[in-house]
Formats: sequence, structure tokens, C-alpha cells
Amino acid sequence: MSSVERSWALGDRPLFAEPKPTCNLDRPNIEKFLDYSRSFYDSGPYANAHLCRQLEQRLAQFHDVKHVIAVTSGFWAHVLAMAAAALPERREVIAPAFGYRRTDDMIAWAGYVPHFCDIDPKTLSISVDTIKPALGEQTALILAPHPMVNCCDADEIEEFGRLHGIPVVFDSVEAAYRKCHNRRIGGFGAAEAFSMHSPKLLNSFEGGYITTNDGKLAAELRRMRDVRLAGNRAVGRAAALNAHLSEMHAAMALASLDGVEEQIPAHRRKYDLYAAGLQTLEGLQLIEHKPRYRPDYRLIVVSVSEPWPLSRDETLRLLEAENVLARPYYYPLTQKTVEYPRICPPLPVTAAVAGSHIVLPSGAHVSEEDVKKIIEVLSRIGRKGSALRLRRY
Amino acid sequence: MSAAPSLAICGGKPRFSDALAIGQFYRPEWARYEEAARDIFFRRYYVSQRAVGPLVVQLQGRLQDFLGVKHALPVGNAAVGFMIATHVVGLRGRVVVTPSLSAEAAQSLAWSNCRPVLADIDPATLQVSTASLRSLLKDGGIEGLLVPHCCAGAAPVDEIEALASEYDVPAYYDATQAFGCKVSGRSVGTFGQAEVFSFDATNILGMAHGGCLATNDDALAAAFKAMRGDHVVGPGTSVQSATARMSEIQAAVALMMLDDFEHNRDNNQLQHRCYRDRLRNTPGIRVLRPTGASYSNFQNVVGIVESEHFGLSRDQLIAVLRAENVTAEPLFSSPRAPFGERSDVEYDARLLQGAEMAAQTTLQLPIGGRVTIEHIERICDVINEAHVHADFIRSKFGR
Repeated sequence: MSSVERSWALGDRPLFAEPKPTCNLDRPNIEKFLDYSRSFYDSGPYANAHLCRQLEQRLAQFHDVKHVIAVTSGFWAHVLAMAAAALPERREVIAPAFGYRRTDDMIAWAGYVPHFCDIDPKTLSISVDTIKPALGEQTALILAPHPMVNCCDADEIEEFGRLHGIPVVFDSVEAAYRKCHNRRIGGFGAAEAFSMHSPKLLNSFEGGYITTNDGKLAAELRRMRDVRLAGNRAVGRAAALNAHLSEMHAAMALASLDGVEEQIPAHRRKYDLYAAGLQTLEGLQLIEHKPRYRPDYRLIVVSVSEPWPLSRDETLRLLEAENVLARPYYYPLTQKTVEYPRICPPLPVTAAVAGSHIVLPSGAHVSEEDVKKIIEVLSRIGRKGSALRLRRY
Repeated sequence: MSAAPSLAICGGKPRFSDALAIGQFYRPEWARYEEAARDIFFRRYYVSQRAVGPLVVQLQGRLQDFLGVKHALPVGNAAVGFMIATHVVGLRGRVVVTPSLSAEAAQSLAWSNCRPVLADIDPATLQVSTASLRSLLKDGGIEGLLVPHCCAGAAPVDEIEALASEYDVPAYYDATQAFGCKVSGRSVGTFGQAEVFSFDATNILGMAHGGCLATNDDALAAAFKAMRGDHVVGPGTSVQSATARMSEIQAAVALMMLDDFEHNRDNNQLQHRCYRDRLRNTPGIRVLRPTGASYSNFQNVVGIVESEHFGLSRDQLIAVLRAENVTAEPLFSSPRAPFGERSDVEYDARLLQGAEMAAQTTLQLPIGGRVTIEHIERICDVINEAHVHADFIRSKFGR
């Protein structure tokens, strides 16, 4: 970071001595983690054994779904879910370009070509209307990510898939706690993929899982995650991956799941502080968590627009200088260059909203006091913004 | 011969009440694990935080020192480690492998659309046959060599490197069984373009359940890192990520296992010697010493069963041991075993006689953290009794 950016607000030191990330970083009860660990430590296998089975059962209850397949990470949960569910004779997976930065990598590993679609400007998510232009004879699967706040219209997308005979896999990484149309997230589409990477709601250190009500698909996924069972029978598409979750990570996930309800009020308090504070800042608009989706209130997303004096990326840079590690939401995937084929039609809504959203810090490393300070920083940027921009040169 | 033996296969009580599995299963003492966990919980950094966590960084440095290699990049999942290596080495076509390849390494080829081409192994060492490698390379059309270091030993690295350079193909290694092994004083991990280690329970640096990618090549290391996915990237050119972050608890365990390496390795050697001593006078079974390595981790015990002298076939002996609750396994059940039902494995059965013989005669026995000398004595007693009562047991099998 440049010295100019460094000196703008608070002299030579950043506002925060420690970085304030957007990551949840849930700290489960250590005694519970140790108790779970004890059960494999002396005599059990170290991976994909009874703690993983226990975790799968608990997650099945949590999501109100028949089958859960625990795997090594959220990334590979997506790859395996897509590889198992997609129509094998076709080439393309439809996904929004406004999404997780590795979405297209996951689709390519699954053996398909990403075909980007646009998003609905109100929900910032994929919808039946945005899927339609991408639908074609080569459509093998629809990957539908839930947005960071609230839900995409999972019912309608599911029904659309059924009507056209196209399987839908939901990327529910940020939506684990939510409900959509009064149903728990987890049971929609052919399958849903989740992450338990420590920045997410549940913390297994690193890990992921797939939920499905389809017994055949579940059996296929269990075979695929164990290379000894699957015997890597296929090349490329639907290849097996030794994707076992370790028992240590399962122990962590179980301890995190035990305390999940306790997280919500803490997230809610910080969200309310942000909501109250941001109200006074013109040009920053908090995206509201709607109660009908049973929010966990964990992610704080704001849109940046006139009369806010700086661009989204300028704002991010200034925040970073203060150790406020806010994140862009998102850089569209079409802005990066990759080594595999993709289909990138013009996406006007994505282009229009791409540079305008910020995820603000939350989670265990951010206290309510910190939230107040972050709002204060934002308010200074709002007041002095255009001057700051000038001073950067 | 004598009266009916007391072996479980003949109706006796199994000698082991709990199953004894193949695998090293070493682990740090509980108190150390607990302390490491408490430290991590105190710091509240569990995995990469826009950078890798402190323990992952520490582990990388320790592994580099230990192996004497420029880069040893921890990965959270060894199978993905192999995928990254195969992808970055740039292989997309025919790759020479052997039947003793690990399942994880074998599977990585499928993800990069590579066709495995089977080379034979030397039945005396169980390492790849360099004559077979040469003849496959001579036939042409080979893109690379993915060679395993087998049975706690090492592949003939000098010959392999010479062939790789003569035919101008990259060679990289499946080092899952060879952590800590050395060839003329130089560590496995430093050979070829890259080597991939696994830290799962079967291996000496186990329990952490991840692995590492070792290479002396700066450009390869940078590409491995980029694919591992611990960096947040914005717009611009980006490699295809294959997320494989190692967590802090995995790194903590791997660090402790590294501290314990010499101790566990010595314990393996002691157990290995016990098997050799106890079976020395048993006709028809020979415990193989690790081959190709000047220093071995002794993490595998492999016996060769010659049925005409032992009196039972290798499979019959496995059945005898399993009845006693002892897991015994062939090194591989057929030359194409690591590839399961895959239909595109290229091989000429006539040229795989060493591998075919190994598939019929090899026997892996338990060794490691959950095995005691007393267990080994009991296992060897079973094997000796099986030999003595071979005729009787054979009649049980109906032949």
C-alpha cells in the first residue's frame, strides 16, 4: 500500500493493529473439539470414519435432507456434485459470472464448459429469466449459487430445471442456515454443495459437503469420493477423487455445529449496528437480510452509489490501509483470463452492478466496538472522499 | 502331519480380538495434540487467511530443511496434490506408470485426461524395471514418467533421470511410501521435476491427512502454489485452481510427526527386523529388505510367498491371517489394479511378467504405531504354523 494512502486519516498507523476480515472464523468450544477428537485418537481411522458419519447424520438433520456426503473441501464438493449430477452427453454448465471467483475452475474440473449467464439486479442472483438465454442443446447442468444475502428463487429454478430435464446443483456455501420458501436449504435441486472452510458459518478448519434427497446420486458420490471404491473408472468427467474429510476436521465441524445457534444473536447485534450506522451514510446502502429467509445475519453487504464520493475499488483500497479487509462482491468471472474454454455472452446487469458492492468485516475477529470504528472510518471517507482521491496523486 | 492346528481358519479362536490393520498409524501423544489445538483456538486462525497460517509456513520451512529441497509445499489433500503436479508438469497424453502406483497418483491422470501406460517392475526389487521403461520410451509417444518409490525403498532414480533426459520427457515421482528415504544420502523429494508425498495414516508422516509437493524448480513451485489456491486473485490471468489448502491443525500434527520421525522410523526398523528374524527359517516366505534406498523409513513390510516351498499360496496365507484378524494384503492384486475398471490403461501382459509375479506372490503385513513386537511374534507364529500345517489347511480349501 502506498504511503499516500497510509497517511490519509489517522497518521502513520492503521486504525486496526490486526486485520479485520470478512471471515466468520467461528471458534467452537475447545473442550467439545477435544472430546470428539478423543474418539478417534487412539484406535480409529484418521479419515472418513465414524466422526464423519456422525457429522453427516447431524448435517442431514440440520438441512432436513436424506443424504449428506462429507468431503475434503467446498471446492471439491462442487466439482463432485456437478460431475455426478450433470447430463454426461452434453458440454455446458450454466452459471452466473457474478459469483465465487473459482466457480469456472470448478466447472472445468467437473469436465464441462462454463456458460455464463446474467443476474437479476434485485436479488443479485441467477433467476429463471437470466438462465433462459443461456439454455441450449448443450446444457448439461445449471449451477445456481445463492447470493451472500437472502436467496435465489430456488423453487422456481428447480421447477424450470425439471421442466427442461436439466439437473440443478445449488451452490449454498453462504446459505447454510437459511430457509427458502419455508424449506431448509439443502433439499433443493439434484444436490447442494457447502463449504466448512473457516470463513463460513460452520468451521471444520477446512472441509465441505454435499446434500441430496436422491439416493442414487448419493451412492454415486460416496463411490466417487473413495478412489478405492470408484477405481477411477472414467476419464475426465466423473473421475473419482480421494476426497475424504479427516476425522480431525470432522471433530471440528461437529463442535462448530453444536454451537451454531449461539452464533446467530452475535451476528445479529453486529448487523443491527451496521444497519443503524450506515443509515446516516449517503451512497452506501446495506442489503437487508430478510427474515423470511431465516438469515444468520453473518454477511454484511453494501452497495456503493452516488453520492458516495469514491468508487468501490478506491473505497476498498482506503479501507485496506486501515486494516479493514473488506472484499469486493464480486469481480465478475468474465474479467479474468483462463486456460480453458468458456462461453461469455454480454451480461449487462453483471456489468452494471459488478463494481458496486462491498462485503464489510464481520465474524469472530470483529467486535461490536470494531463495527463502530469501521462505520466511523466509512463516514470519514464519505465526508473527505473527493479530497482523498485528489491527495492520492 | 500333526493334529489339527489351533488356527482360526481351522476353527480355533482368532489370535487377535481386534483387527490389526495395514498402516503406520503413528500419532503424537495426546497432550501435545491438545496443546497444539489450544494454541490454534487461541490464535483463531484455522486455515489460510489471505496467506497461509503460521503453522503451515513453519511446516513448509521444516519440510524443506528436512528434505534438503528448495520447495516443499504442504497441501491439505494428497490426491489433489497429485492432480496439481500432473496438471502443472503439463501432461495430457500417455504417461508411463507402474502397477505399484498409489491410487491417488493413478487418479490424478484421469483428471488431466492422461492415458496410463504400464511399465513392468523388477521382481527382485519391486521397483520399476528400467529395461521396461527404456523399451516403452523407445516405442515413442510417451509424454512423461510418473514413477512410484515402492515399499519403503526408492526407484532407480539415476537411471530414470538419465532416460528422462535422453528421451526428453519429464519424470516425477509418487513418493507416498518414501518420506524420509534417501538415495546415496540424498532425500527422496529432490528427484525428478517434482515429488508428491502423502501424510495419510498408511504413511510414516501420517495422521495429518494431507501431503506436500516437493521440487527444486522455482517456476513449478510458483505454479503449484497458484493452483493450491491460498491467494485471492482479482481480474487478470489466472491459473485453474485446485483448492488444497492445508489447515493449521494438519500442519500442527505434521510438525509433531516430523519431530517424531527418527523415533518412529527406528521403531519401524525394529519391527521390520523382528519379522525378518522370526521368518528367517520358514521355507517359502522371504521378507524383502527395502530396495534402492541407502536409508529407509521401513514403513512397509513386504513378504514374498513361494507357494511350492511354503505349502500354501499367497492368497491362502492371506485367508489364514485374516481369520486371525490380521489384515494382510498383496502389494497389488493385478498389474492394472490401481486403475480399477478404467478401460484406457495401455499394457502388454506379456511384458509385465515381473508385475504379474509380484501380484501373485507379495504379501504386506502390519507394521507401525498400533503394532507391538509381541503382535509380530504372534503373526509370525501364525505364519509358521500355517507352513507346518499347510497340507491340512489346503484340504480345508478343498485342494
